[in-house]
Amino acid sequence: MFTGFGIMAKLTKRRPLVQRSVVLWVMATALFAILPHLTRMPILLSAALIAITGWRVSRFYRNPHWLLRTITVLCAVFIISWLYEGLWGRLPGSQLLCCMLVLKCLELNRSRDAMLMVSLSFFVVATWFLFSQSPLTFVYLVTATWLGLTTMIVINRGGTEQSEIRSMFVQGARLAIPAVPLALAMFFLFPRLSVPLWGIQGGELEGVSGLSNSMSPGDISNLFIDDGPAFRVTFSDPQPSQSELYWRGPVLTRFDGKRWTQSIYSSVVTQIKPERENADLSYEIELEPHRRQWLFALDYPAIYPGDSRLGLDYQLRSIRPVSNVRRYQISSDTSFRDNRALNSTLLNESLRIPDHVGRRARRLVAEWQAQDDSTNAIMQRALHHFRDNPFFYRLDALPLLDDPIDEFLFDSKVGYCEHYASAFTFLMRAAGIPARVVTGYQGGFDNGEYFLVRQSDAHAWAEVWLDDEHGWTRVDPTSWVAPNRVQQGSRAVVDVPNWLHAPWLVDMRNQVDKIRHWWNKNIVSFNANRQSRLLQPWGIERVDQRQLLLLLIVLSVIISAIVFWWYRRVDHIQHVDPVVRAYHKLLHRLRHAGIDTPIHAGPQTVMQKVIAYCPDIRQQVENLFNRYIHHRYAAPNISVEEQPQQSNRLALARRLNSFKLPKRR
Amino acid sequence: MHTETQSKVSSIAISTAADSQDLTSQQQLLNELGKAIAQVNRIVLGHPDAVRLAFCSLLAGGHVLVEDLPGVGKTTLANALACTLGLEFRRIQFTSDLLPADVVGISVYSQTNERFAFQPGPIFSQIVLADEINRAPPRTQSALLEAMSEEHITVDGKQRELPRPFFVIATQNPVDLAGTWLLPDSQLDRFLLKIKLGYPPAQAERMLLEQPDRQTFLTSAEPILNTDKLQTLIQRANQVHASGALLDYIQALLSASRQHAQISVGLSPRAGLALLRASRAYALLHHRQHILPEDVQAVFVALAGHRVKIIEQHSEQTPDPSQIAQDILHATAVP
Repeated sequence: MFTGFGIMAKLTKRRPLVQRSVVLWVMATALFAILPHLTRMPILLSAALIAITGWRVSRFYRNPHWLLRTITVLCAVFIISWLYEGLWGRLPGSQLLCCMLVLKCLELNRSRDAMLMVSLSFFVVATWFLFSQSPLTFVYLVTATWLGLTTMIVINRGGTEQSEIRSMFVQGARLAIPAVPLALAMFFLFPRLSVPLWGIQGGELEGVSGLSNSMSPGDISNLFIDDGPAFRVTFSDPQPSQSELYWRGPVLTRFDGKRWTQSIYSSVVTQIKPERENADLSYEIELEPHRRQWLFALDYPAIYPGDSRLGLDYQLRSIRPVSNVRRYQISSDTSFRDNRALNSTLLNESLRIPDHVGRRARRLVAEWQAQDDSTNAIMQRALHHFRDNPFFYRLDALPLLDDPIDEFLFDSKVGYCEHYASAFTFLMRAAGIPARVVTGYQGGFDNGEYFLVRQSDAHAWAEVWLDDEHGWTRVDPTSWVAPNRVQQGSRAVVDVPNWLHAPWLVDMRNQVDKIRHWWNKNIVSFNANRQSRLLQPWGIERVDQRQLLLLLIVLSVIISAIVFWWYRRVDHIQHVDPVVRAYHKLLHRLRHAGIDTPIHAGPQTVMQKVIAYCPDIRQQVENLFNRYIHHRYAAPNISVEEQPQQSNRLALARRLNSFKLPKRR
Repeated sequence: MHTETQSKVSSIAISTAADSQDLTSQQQLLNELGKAIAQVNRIVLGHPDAVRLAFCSLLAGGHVLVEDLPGVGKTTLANALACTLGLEFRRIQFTSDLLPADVVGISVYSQTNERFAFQPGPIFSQIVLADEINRAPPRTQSALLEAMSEEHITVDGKQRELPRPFFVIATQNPVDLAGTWLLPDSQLDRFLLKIKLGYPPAQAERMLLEQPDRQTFLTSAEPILNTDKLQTLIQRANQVHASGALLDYIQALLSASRQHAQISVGLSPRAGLALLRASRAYALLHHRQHILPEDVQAVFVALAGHRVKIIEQHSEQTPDPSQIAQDILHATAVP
């Protein structure tokens, strides 16, 4: 046992220290692996990791004492567990892994350490998959794998020279390519869970933009800057006009003077639903993950996914948070009316306004009421108030400090959709008319075969309880101030002096979104259900998971056999000296040029023939062929190091390849 | 042109040698070798290739079988070699009644010493010309051939070393076959190369007629090398480098000879070793420290011609082994 350890120690000690070029490669691989994670880390932590990387590759680096290394590792564990209140979960887990990967570089001395770091890098790269499954992630994964494999080759060779980097990458790609068929087989055949393991947790909301379950002035205008997709819609029926596309999201009933929040009753499942038979508009939505439960739909959803519920406010909610791209079919009944009689609780909630805000607004409403008390009249007065007074629809509204209602209505008069919806709802409630704010998205961009709804299409409007016949009726005060917002989309109204919205860039983003759409449709949405129907084109209706596994094993064996065979072939080709390959190519070219070089002609014979063909460049020909002869037949020069010999060989191969016969006169 | 490039290659090769002192002495030796070849060529007119092959065989420590008609200069070649190299030379005319003792020597009872004394035969010489070897009976032939392969002979239970270098030039007449014993294939293998002289080219023959008798050249020829120098050269030839690629080529030639349709028995591994040895010597003759495929090709026909066994074809004329060896050469790619 002890002698075993002794031998192990000796073996480890005898391994040579890695060259500086290897360190650079390994550090580049590690840095590339943690790059996406850095964006999710606290800035100080990511700065520290980059600093350690920089220190390791600098020329002043010395291995720190083991005690210092241990303390650093413990610090990292402590910081992560303090930041995330524990180490459990994908965010703290992956970030701890990143820290460990970077800290490992403090003992990157031998090729074993280098190999370990690269292997760990592969793992770290794979963890990014838990956060994003976009096409860009895929490109990143492929690139990182390629870099990792190339680094492994470099480690095995003990270093590289500047001139060899390209050929290293080519070799790395050659290593990676045989894995592609196996990866494809795994993708299609590896039995899928119907729920992804990491989708269960829903608490992590950081970095995901979108609507929230409350609204205060400025929330939605922040979203306008976000050009990311919210969801995509494919209509199977003729699509409605732009101004009818109100995608219902959270309905906000409670108002505390600043924030609008959802009523606790909103999650109660409604008993009165639109009839399935009445559904007159059906479409498919591809929802980008927002880690909330709500799904978006046009009013009012009649047919919707089985794992979702329709609330009292007719907002559609999924049972689980949407943590992956989700596709669902919806049919809406556009003629349905939400005119169920309000019970006293809901009525109270829809009328309640806090006393400390909107005193001037209340006085204004009282004036209106004095003239005409009817609901319709009040509503019209309010909307005309927005249209007739100098109200502006602008993003750069000043922050409203104490009284968001009065300040907006009487002082600034500049605001975004949430200001108008909020103020309008307040005015209605002040007049004793039940009203509420609905948030969601409005409009969308016709991107060819589908409708793209961006985060910047986020919108807020109001709903007013008219009477028992009409029930809750949508009123969009924004459309009175800026009709274009509703008719042509958010971009038509707000003139943001931002280079990000240059037409060509927008166009490019739309094209990119098409790729994302394709990706979501075909790659990300390939779930357990679609997998079980994989063999349908071949007449097999369903395959269960055991059959899939069996198929995968059989296919893997076949693919591995082919790859093995291919490798052996490539191996055979690779064993041929590049110089010899170049020489034989040269012979081929000579034959093509009409110089008779039979297979049995030795190099000297060939040289004489070439000289006879073009005596002008005799010196050059002699030089080249003598170098070849020397390389191929002379005794190896022992005094010369092996490394330069390799580069000499490549240089000679290049010279042979670049040799050109002059045109014969 | 040819020699120029060759010397360039050799200069690259030689530059790798460690000891410069050694280098100059080697260069001198090679120069002297060149002079020796030139002198033999002056005496034996019109056969530069055969002369080069003879020298090649000499440096490789092998023996030569010259197969040709009488009067084309076989004896002159042997004589010229002996004179030029400064070696001892004997000629044995093989006849049908020649006994082994006539070749190797015999123990004769000496009356004065009252015991048997060994009288060395003509084989105790550095260069032996075995003329018309196929005329002698097999017993005598094998006595010579055994001596050739072993480099010593055993008479009366006592082993006697032959002088070094020991070089046999045997000749055989391919036309006049009545009353001859063809050398068995297994023994032909003892000869490193089989050379054909043939008639000299017209110009050389004209010069031959014009110039005085060859004998005067032979008597006036000065020894250029000596035993020591020759031994050093033989040693040097052994050190010529054969790269992996070249060994591949030789091996490919051997395999090709075994797969050739007209050959029943191809080249043996021993023939392969002989090919390597001869190629080394040939490379050294061209002042090179490494073998090129061209060296192998130069010696291959002379080396393989008498080693392969041709399938007898009764219907047609039996093909010429040299031609088949040439075919093999042409069909085998240089790697």
